[in-house]
Amino acid sequence: MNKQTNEELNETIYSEVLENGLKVYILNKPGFKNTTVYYGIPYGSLHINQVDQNGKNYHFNPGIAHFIEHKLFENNKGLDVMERFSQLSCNVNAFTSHHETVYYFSTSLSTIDQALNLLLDFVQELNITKSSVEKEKGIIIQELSMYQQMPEQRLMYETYRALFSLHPLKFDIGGDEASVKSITKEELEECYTLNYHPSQASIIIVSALDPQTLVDMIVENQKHKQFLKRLEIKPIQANEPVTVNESYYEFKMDIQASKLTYTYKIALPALNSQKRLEEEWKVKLFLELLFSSINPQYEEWIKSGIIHDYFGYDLDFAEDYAFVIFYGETEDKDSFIHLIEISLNQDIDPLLIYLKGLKRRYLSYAYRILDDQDDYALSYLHSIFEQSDFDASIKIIKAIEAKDIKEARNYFDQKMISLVYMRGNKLDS
Amino acid sequence: MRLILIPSDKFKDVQFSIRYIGENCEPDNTIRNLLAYLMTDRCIAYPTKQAMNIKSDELYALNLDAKVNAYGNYHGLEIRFKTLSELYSKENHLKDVFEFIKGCIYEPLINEQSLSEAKINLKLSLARILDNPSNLSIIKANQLGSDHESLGNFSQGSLDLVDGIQIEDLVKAHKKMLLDNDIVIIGLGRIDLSYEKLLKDMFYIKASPFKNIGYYVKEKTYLEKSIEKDVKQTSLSQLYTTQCTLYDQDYATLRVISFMLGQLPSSLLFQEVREKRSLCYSIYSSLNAFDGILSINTGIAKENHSQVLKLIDQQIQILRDGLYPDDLFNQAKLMLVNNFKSIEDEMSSYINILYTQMMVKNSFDLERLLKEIEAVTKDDVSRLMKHMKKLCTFTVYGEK
Repeated sequence: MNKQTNEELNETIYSEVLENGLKVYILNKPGFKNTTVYYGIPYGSLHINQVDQNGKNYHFNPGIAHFIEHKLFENNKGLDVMERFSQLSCNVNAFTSHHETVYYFSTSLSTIDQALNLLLDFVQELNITKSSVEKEKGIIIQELSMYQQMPEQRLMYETYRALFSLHPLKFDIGGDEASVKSITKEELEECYTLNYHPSQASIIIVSALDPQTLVDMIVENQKHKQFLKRLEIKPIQANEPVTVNESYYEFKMDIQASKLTYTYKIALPALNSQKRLEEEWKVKLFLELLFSSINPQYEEWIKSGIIHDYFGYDLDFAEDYAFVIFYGETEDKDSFIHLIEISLNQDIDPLLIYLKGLKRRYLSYAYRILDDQDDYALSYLHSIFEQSDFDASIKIIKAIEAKDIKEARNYFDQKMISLVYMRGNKLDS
Repeated sequence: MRLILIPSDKFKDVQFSIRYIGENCEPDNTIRNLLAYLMTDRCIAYPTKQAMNIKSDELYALNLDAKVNAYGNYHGLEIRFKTLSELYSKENHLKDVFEFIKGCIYEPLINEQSLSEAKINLKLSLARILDNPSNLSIIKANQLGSDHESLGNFSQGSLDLVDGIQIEDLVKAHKKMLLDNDIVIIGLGRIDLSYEKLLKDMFYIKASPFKNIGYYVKEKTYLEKSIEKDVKQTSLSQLYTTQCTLYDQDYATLRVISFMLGQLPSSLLFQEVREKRSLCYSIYSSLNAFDGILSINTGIAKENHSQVLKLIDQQIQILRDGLYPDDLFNQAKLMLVNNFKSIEDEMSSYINILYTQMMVKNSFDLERLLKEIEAVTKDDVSRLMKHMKKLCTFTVYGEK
């Protein structure tokens, strides 16, 4: 078992790769009473088109990753996974994101062997029937309806759809009613077999319990199991055009104030994960200097009523897509757009004196993440899946200089903008 | 005034909560919400948003937040802040943090401009809350079930009242808060106990401790009401009076009941409505601890509305008749114990439980809490269920 201590963060991490390829990481937290165990698979909603080592292509229905997440909790051997976890005094849950699916449980018990075995057993075996698949569709469709009527969720969904014409980001994580209805037992099984081999998975345990004992429990569980030989599989990159799918999209929703997103689709050169993270941090700091109250103009924008506290930006620099989204709530979209465009071209030099304080803020945030078991474990999991160092962001923030921030402006191309406007009742009345 | 400091080196941050406890009534709730905005926006010493931001960065990512909550007959305005522990900043910056926070609380910038901004922010925030159909059904159910009782006052304020509030109202409410409201301060993380005196000197208030926070919402004739909204899903909220609040010996039993009914994956509602019949994605029960109310909330398809209501009635009857499995009863107790034991690892949750326990018992004793849960029997459940009466159902109908 490897042991790695980060003196600066005062954190120790133990790791081990098992014979079947399963990677285990113990994030040791002395003094914590709770133990949380996460089983992560780098298979998310975006991986609907894949190709195996023999050149065979696989095209799954949108929402399949999320559907598998639902079905793993039901086992036709009569085991109700959730109920069993409750009997063991554990909270259990799972989520599917664009890039991964994660199953996890937490408990304050000091003996976790039964719960750990249960997690490994239920995630490592899909056991479904045709009728149980059909039954689940009703639940998933209600879940999709719930998200669709949440204004912020709906706005993001429409933003992705306006931005991308071919990339799977245009689909909701859970798919839509039609795609969910089309998913079959056979499709779920094929997708599961391709993507859930233990060598693709990582277990993260955040705990004060003895690391060697935890690793031994996992080794003991795994040594009795046989898995099919893993097929090497990779995603088929979408041939996504550089331009946006729709430069303007407007729709009506039963809400009081109108909301909008103004998004720059970014043509990112091919970069490794470390370089991409560097570029993302440069743009993030650039945006924070310009579009937060560090910029004295911000107070003027509020006084003039163009923005209020529901204003911000978000960015995502992934391997095969990148964007910066500005969002707000206004009935006057033209003034909002004008504000963004003028500010992006504002002279940033006078604001660069605040870079030092801003770096101090984000470095403090890096410590803050370690106080929350979920935040710590999931950040660590992302760094594994991205094949980057966990403290990469800290090193990048420390190294960033004023000249790097200035370069960030080059990413914003006026020809690659999409405006999505969610019209509320106020405008109609 | 009560001050609790829990020194601990296991966190990288230190977190503080300062709660001012006033009356739960209107227009006070709306005014106190505006105050919450103003106290985190600008202050006399840092009169611009930029100055506030730069100072927060200087104080190691100081995160300052103010929010309001209802606690039965009382209303809490909480200022919560966190910063990097001095162990990691390697500076003694906490004293500066307290000075900064004192400035924000005692001398917020209150003028026409700041009030106008706070009003816009509050109005839009309230609108966003009400735009969400599940929030809307909960708020409307609380109003429907209340007969001029505190339950009906939405803690976040009222849209209808915001525009009418003047600077004088705010100044008066601010003064009242600083002089008359009871105050509870809780700190967690690497805190030198010598800060206790400093904090007392800074924030001391000679106010009487709160009384009669908890109350029982009166039993009434059952009411049903609904509205329509142009959304996909139908949201429903149902309230029950329980004649039991956080102040009662039986509250541990009520917690167990709520867990069995709708707070576990194996709970009666989750199993019957979601797992067996696929009628919803989410269904849960929750407790209004200071009002003696149990609520049930779900999102469903419109055509299944009456079927779901019937199923809810059946699950309540199962609890009344004691016909639930022993396993479920034991799981509910186990999970409650587990959740309480884990709480010391989460700063925010730990502060919240310390606070409610301080309000009710004047001290926090985890062992006592665990024993109370472990002692709950099935007879206790049956006895408490006899007092439970359906109060009202509010439905926000979506499209068919």
